This record gives sequence, C-alpha cells and structure tokens, in this order.
Amino acid sequence: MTDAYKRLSQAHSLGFYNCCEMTTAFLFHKKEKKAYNFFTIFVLEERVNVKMVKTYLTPSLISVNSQFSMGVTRSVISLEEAEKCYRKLRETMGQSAVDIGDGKLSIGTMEEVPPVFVQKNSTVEIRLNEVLKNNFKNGSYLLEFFDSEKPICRLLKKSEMKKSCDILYRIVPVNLFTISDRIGNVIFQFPSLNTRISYHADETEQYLTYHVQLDRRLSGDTAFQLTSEVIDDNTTVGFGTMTVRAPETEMKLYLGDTSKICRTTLMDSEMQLIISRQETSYIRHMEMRMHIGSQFGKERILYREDGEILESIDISSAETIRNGLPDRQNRGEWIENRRYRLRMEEIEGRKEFLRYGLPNGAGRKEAISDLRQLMCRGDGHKVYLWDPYLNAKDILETWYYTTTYGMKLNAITSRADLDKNDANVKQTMEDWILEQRCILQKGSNQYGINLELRCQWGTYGYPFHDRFLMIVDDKEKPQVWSLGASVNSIGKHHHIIQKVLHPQMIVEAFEELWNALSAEECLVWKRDPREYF
Amino acid sequence: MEKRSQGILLKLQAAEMKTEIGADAPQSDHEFIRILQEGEAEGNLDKIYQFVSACERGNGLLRNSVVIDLVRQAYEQSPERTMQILAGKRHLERCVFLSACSEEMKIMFIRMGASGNMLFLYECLRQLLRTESHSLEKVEAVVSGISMLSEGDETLWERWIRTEEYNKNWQSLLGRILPELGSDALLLFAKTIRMDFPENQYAQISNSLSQMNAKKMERVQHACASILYSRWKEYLQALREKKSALRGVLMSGYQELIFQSLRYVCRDQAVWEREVMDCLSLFEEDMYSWYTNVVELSAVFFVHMSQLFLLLHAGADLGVYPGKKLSRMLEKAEQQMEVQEYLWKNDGQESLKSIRQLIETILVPDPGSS
Repeated sequence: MTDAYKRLSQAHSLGFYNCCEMTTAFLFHKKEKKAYNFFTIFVLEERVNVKMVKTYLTPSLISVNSQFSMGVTRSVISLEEAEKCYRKLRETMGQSAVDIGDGKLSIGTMEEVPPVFVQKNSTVEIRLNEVLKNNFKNGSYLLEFFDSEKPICRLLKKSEMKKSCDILYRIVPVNLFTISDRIGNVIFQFPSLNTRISYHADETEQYLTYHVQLDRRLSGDTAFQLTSEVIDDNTTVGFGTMTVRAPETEMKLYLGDTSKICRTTLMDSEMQLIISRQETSYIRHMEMRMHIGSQFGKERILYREDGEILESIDISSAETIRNGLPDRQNRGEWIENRRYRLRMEEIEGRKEFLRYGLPNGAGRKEAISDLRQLMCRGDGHKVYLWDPYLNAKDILETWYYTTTYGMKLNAITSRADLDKNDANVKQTMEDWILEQRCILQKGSNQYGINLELRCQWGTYGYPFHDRFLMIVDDKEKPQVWSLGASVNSIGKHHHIIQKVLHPQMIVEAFEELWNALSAEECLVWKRDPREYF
Repeated sequence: MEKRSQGILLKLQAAEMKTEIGADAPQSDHEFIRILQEGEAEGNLDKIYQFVSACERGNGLLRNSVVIDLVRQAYEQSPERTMQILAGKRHLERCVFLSACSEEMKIMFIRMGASGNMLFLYECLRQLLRTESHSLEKVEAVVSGISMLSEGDETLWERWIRTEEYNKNWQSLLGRILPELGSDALLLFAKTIRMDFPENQYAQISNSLSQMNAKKMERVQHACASILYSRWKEYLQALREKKSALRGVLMSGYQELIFQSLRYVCRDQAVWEREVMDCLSLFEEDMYSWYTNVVELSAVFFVHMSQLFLLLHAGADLGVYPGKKLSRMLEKAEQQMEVQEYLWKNDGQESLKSIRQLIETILVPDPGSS
C-alpha cells in the first residue's frame, strides 16, 4: 500500500501535486475531553500559490448533545507531512487512537482499502462524490482507511447523528447523511488534473470526435490509451480505442450508436492508472409540458352547499413541447418493452407488486398465502403490521402460520369509533379486548408465538387508515409493503399489494404511533414464547 | 365664432368617461375593471396602468371618431386651453383623451410645460415613446420632457426608469437624455436600473450611449459612477454567494455604462490596483474552496472572470502599468485560469482569449521605468 501512495502521489499523469489540504471533522466528548474522528479527508492539490495555513472552520465547537460537540479544521500541509500522516495511519491500524497532527483522534478498527478510482459525475452520478472535494474534472483516486467499527455511531442516537451530519454539511459540503458508511473514515484523494477531454457526436450519431489535451509539462513521449464503449442491454453496441499523445490529440472514433451510455476511459498504461473516466449519453430529445395561464384567466369555481363560493381555482392550458431528433430506430422500444415485461415478472416473483380481486385472477386464498409468505420473510428480524380493522381472527389466519420460533410481531389496530370518556363505551372497549384475547387463547396453543397487539382508540394515539406490513432490522434497510386492503378483506375485491420505495419513513411513523399507544388501556395482547414453553 | 370655439372647449371640459362592463364580459375584463377601480380609489398608478396596458394590448384605449374630432377641434381653437383641460381630468380620462391626440399635439403639450402637471407630462411622454418614429422634433421634446419630469417629480421619474427599461425607443434615446439630466436625477437613475438587465439589450443601449462624447460621459459618470460601480459589485457578490448557474462572462444590458463607471472610479491607478488585487485575492481563495457540484464552481469562477474582464479592460483603456506585486498576482491568476480552462464552453473561448490578451497588454513593462 505504501507503494500505492507513492505511485499515486508521484504520478504526473494525474497531477503535479505540491501540497495537501487536510479537512478534519471531529466530535469532542465534553466530559472525557476526547476527540473522535467523524471524517477526515486529505486532498492532494497543485496550487498556484501554496500557503501553509491552518483554519478553524468552527471558531467555537457546535453542540450536538449534552456530551458531544463538533469541530472542523482545515490545514494546508506539505506533501511530506501528508505522507507521514498516511504512514502513521497504517502503523496504528488496530489501535483506538491516532495523532495526525492535531492531537489524539479516537478511531475505530481501520481497514485499508486498495486504490479506488472514482469517476466524476456525468449522465451517471456517483454517490461517493458527495464526500469528495470538487471531483469535477476527470475523477480521483482514493486511498481509504475504512472504519469498520464506527464507535461514534454507537455513542449517538439516529437524530444526533443526523444533526452532526447536518452541521458538517453546512460548513463543508460533505454529505455523510446519505453516504453514512463513510463516517469515521480517513480518505486520501488524488484528483486527476492534467488532462482535458471533450467530445461531441456528429449528425449521424455514429461517430464521436475526441479532443484530448494533456498538461504541457508532460513529455512528448507520453502516450495514453483512450477507450470508449457503448453499452446497451448488457451488450457492447459500440467500441473504439486510440492512442493519445502529448500535448494534444484530436481523433474521430466510429462507435455505432452514440445515443446510449458511452463509457470513456483514458489510461496511463505505463503507470497502470486510470487518468479519466466518465459515462455520458447525449440528450436526443426533450419533452416539456408548458403551462400558460393568464393574469385573470377563467377560473374553476367550487360552491358550498348554500351556493356561496368556496374556492376559485386558477386553471392553465398545457401543451407538450417536444424538442430534438425523432426516434429513428424503434428497436430500442422493442428492447425496452421486453426488459420492462421481464422486470414486472421479476417484481411479481419477488412479491413486490401483486394484484388480487380480478375476475379469474388471484383471490383471497392467494392473497392470504402471499401474506403468510411475506410474513415469513421476517425470519431473523422484527415484523410490524399496521391495519385499522385488524383483529384476532385475522392474526390467527396469517401470523400464526409463520414457522420461525419467537419471531416478533408488533401490530397496531384501531377502534377509532370509541370515546374513552363515555363510561358505557369504555366498558365496550374492555369487552372487546377480552373478546380478542379469548379468540387468540382458544385459537392456538401459542407455541413459538411472540406477539404484541396494541389498539388505537379514543385519544390514545391518532386515528389512521394505513395498511402496511413491515420487516425491520437495526442493521439493514427495512422492507415495507402497502397492503391496499385490510387483512380481513384481503383478496376479496380488487387491490394491489406493492413494495414501498421509501420504507424508512413509514417505519418511523409506525414506531411513533406504537410509542403513543404504550398505555395499559391500549394493550390487547402481549405474549412471548418463554411464557409458555 | 368665439362662442363656437368656447363651446368646443366647454364640451371637452365637460366630457366625462365612465367605465362600465357587461355582466357577460369575460372574467379577465371584470378583474381589470376591479383593478382600475381599486387603483383610482387608492391613487395607485401601478393598478391604473395595469388597466391601461391591458386596453393597449387589446383594442386600444380609444376608437371613437367623435372624441378624436372633439379633441382636434379643441386643439385648433386653443392648444394651451386644451392642454389645461386635459391635464385637469382624472388620470384614466387623460390617458384616453391623450390617445386621441396626434404626436404633434403631445409634442406641443410638452413644449408648453404640460400645464405643470407631472402626471400629464408622464403620460404624454409614455404615449410618444410607444411609437417608433423619431423625428428631430419628437426627440427634442422627449429629451426636454424627461428632464422636466426628473426635476419635477422624483417618484414619477423612478417609476419611469423602472417601467420603461425594456422600451427600445427609450433605450435609443439614453445617450441624448442622460447628459441633460441633473445630478439628483442621474443618481436616481443609477440607483434604479437593474444590474441584471439582460445581455440581449446591450447592443441597443451601447449604441445609444456611444452618441455621448467623452465630456458628456464624464459628466454623467461624475454623478453616478460611484453608486453604479458599487451596485454592480454588490450584484456580483450576491451571484457569488448564491452560486446560481453561470457558464460564461456576465454581460449586462448596461455593460457599457457599468464599464464607464468602473473606468471613472478607477482612474486613479492606485484605486485600480487595489480593486484588481482584491478581486484576484478573492478569486484565488474561491478556487481552493469546496463546491457541491461543478455548476457552483463554474458560477463562482465566472463571477470573478466577469469582474476581472471589466477591470482589465478599464486598466488597458487607462494605460496603467501595474506594480511588481500586482504583476505577479496577474501571472498567477492566468495560471489559475488555465487550471479551470475546462469550465469554458466553446462560445466562451473569445472571452477567455480577450482576458488573456488584456493581461498581456497590461503586463507590458512601463517604458518609463528602468
């Protein structure tokens, strides 16, 4: 790995680096007086004017919670100092702290990652660029010390972690909220600065003309290899390669079809380095919807029952404007339709999109069977079920068919029609709870069942109409299905069970209501297997 | 005869205009009438002119030959009395009756001082500049009218600058008008015009300003250079902070005016050097900063290029010879520009070339130095 550092820092095909900017974000434990590395990045640069300075980007530490505050510093250091820091990190891997110039920084178990090339964002966006500095030109190499323990994540709650990420983002645009796997890491970034590639397609869209400029300081003998591939439907539909010589080369490559994503790579074969890479496609046509209203156009009027005007809505005219070349080849449509059809079949196979209640289609039997299968996926995780009309019979018909011992189900149901202040109705609620317990008790010997059922009613929590099944795990992304119908009527009429794209927020909403129903009066059933066996 | 002439004038005086609208009129017409009524009740010119502009975009303010005849006859009897009568009417009536007047009549009203009524003067000027014909008489009338307006009513003058900015006929007369204005009027002009005036207005305005000789330009700049230059710098600073998309050197429609103001402010070499050094220091600092995406970097880069371009242009024009420190900074700035050369799009290559040429021009050693 030392070779890797030397190789990258001295590779003139990447850059004539003359300094290094080090940015460190740390969390300071107020009582223990201990600083934890939140994120550190060393960026090798070639500056026109090198001034070795240290700046406190947070003049005073910013409080995260009662224990921790965040600070961010930035220093411009020499290449020698940067290499010393790199070596120190290598030497102290396995230790819990390291001093890379600003005093002891607590770190987790560091794993050194082999060199990685991160291309710049183009048509294809690379999320990792959200934690790198200005990776806009050709891409960057990274040498990374990956904190696989991340002690700081155990010391902060989720909300505090988010707050820390937000604080950092306000100071330096490093997005650790999205790229949270990089929390605690130390990165050395070697940006590729000495090349400039531009290219454009011809009218036939089959050729690309490349113009590659290399830094003047690179010798005339310098030769790189440029390769372009056009990929579509997992096949290479276009390919071209050429040798590029200093100081600049212009050449036309036949690629066949430039309307697809084109991956262009420039390589220094001698140093075995990628100098530039990007994945780009051209916009062939654009469609826009243009809305035109007028200052006082005709409005749609909504009336109250008494005939008075409730609301007037501004209405605009809309027109589709299409700009660009018409589709000359419709083979793309055929291919896309086939891929779409296969995707839908896969989605159905994975039970991410299921329809019921159609004539001659899947009905209640299939719906219950699918629901049981989905519940079984909760093996090793927790399961949440959210249904306003859920009752003991529904749970006996579904959950009690799962096969993993002790798999936990938290379920919320609702009796929103009840008012706790009405003494008669309260009695009815108690009776209802007793009835549910009786049904569950009589319906099974409870072997392996780990179930808690809470009920929203009166002023406990809030009325809801959601129907979701969730599989939740602390370490993995949750999986959530929208059921489209209550369990008691699932499959009887047309509805769709589909997997939700943004599950975390639904899980958080469930947990919020769950916590609001912690009162004894809301508890319908709570048993775990140890009570029976 | 006298009785008849008095009768015509009395008729004109007595003529009133009511604005009514049928119940089955379109929604928009109802709304414009409502705006007009509010405007008249509040004395709100913006609302009144919303109605007037709406009419002008449609069928025009007036197509009644009886009214046109009445006005013409009254004018033939007594231009001065006609002017006084029209000036005394409520504003919407003024607009309508004035639209019945010919250009010659409006020119005469301006020459006669518009009865001392600035709003009447304003409307005469506005209607004159709606048409493109620019006879010498008309130009002279407009020039003197604007001068009167700017001296007579600050609020109306400010409104004029704001609302007529896009009027090509107004733009084409700027070179004639600005030198005739007083200092306060010029100052208000400098405070009101938009710094973000679109580039496609540049040619027309620049053409117009080229009518001013150096002495007239100097007079104008003496009054407003400082405020113009400072507003322009604030505008660039706002763009720099906002980091909104900018893919080339910024050109304002008022570029020529801004350039001249910069040139005036920096006519002392020491001031020019200080401005350039401040610009270059900030440029260098910004090029080492972090950005969320290339659009932000590009925006900040071109804000600096825009400022540098004008400063260097002014310096070359003034024939300055920068000191050693500034020369070194300019050389480093050139290197920095080379690092970011990938940000220039093809159509920006000319600007890049110009900046490089300007730096080379300025860095030529002072022949007077040893």
